[in-house]
Amino acid sequence: MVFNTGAALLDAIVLAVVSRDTEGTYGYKITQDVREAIDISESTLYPVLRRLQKDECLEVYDLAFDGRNRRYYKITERGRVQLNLYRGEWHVYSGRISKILEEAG
Amino acid sequence: MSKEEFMKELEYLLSDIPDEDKKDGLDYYRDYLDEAGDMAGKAIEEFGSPERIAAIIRSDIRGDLGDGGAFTERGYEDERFRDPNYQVVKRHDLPDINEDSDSRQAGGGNENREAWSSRESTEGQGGWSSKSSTEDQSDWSSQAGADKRRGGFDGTGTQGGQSRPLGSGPQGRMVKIVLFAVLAIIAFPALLGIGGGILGVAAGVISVFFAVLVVLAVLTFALILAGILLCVAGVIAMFTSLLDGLFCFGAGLLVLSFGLICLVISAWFYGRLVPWMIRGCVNGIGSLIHRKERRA
Repeated sequence: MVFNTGAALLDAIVLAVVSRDTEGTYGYKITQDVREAIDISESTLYPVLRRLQKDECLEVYDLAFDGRNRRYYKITERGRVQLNLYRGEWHVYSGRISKILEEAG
Repeated sequence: MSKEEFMKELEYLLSDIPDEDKKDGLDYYRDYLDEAGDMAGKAIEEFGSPERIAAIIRSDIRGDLGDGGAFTERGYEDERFRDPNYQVVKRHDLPDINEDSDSRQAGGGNENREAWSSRESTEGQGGWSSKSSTEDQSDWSSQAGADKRRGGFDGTGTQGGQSRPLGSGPQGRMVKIVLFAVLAIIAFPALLGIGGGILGVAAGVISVFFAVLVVLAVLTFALILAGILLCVAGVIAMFTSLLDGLFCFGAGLLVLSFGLICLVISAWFYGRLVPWMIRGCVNGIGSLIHRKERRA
């Protein structure tokens, strides 16, 4: 991929991925899902998730699974507002870029 | 490296950070490897090294990620770690584990990144806030702006990890200042003697300098004046006694020539040496202040 993924876009993708599971989802699965869209490394998401958690866009809860605790991430109301903002911005932004690139051809 | 080895090493590397952050980080990565199941080996390989993961957890705590840099698909990139040639000198304090991808990064990626970040800073923030209509949204827009300045990690695994040496972060600087203060108090009597001595010497040098400054001017003036007066007196004396007059006139010329030599010397002294010394002092002080500013 030649284009960079900025912090905001990565946040948007993570929020979108987490919002798909209403019951919440866990770190490994989030990483794998995000990797469907962009090429990130396995270690990337920890600081991103921490930050989104600190910003109260995500909430966490632990659930016993397979004899151990699994940490689930769930989108908050605030997170949804943020995601909607990102979606609107992305729609405008990507639309403009697409338009300009297609007109060039 | 097995999962257990990796986690043990990571735990050891994080032994000095707050328990809560340590547990959070360790839990996340242990969890991750557990979930990865059969793929854990591959995940560990992609993690790079325990040092690298430790550095990610640490920089998150320090809040470094909030100050600059950006997530990109190639990894964490931070303007602060570039040299004037616009190349990534050192991304964070993480040793590289992949030379190839790093050089690719340093070479090709920069124009892109530059364009991207300038776009973000100009259009981005203005764009967000101008579009936000409700109060809630405008709150978020400032947050979105703040988010952009944040950094993160990801990428092709070009970072590995080491902790930053003590004395670099704001906390480290505080520790340094405190240590210096303690040292200053303990060494006060000795410092008084040494400092007094140094001050005395400095005062001596400065007063000699000023003495030369004044004496040279006075001497030049006096010699030239005396020379001229002697010459005039000699010419007048020639009318009464030719020999005395000539002698007086000659002495006057001699004194005048000394005066002129002094004039040349003082021209050099005031014209070159003094400005040079002042410039040297100003530059010296300037560079001291400048260095302080850079450090701060």
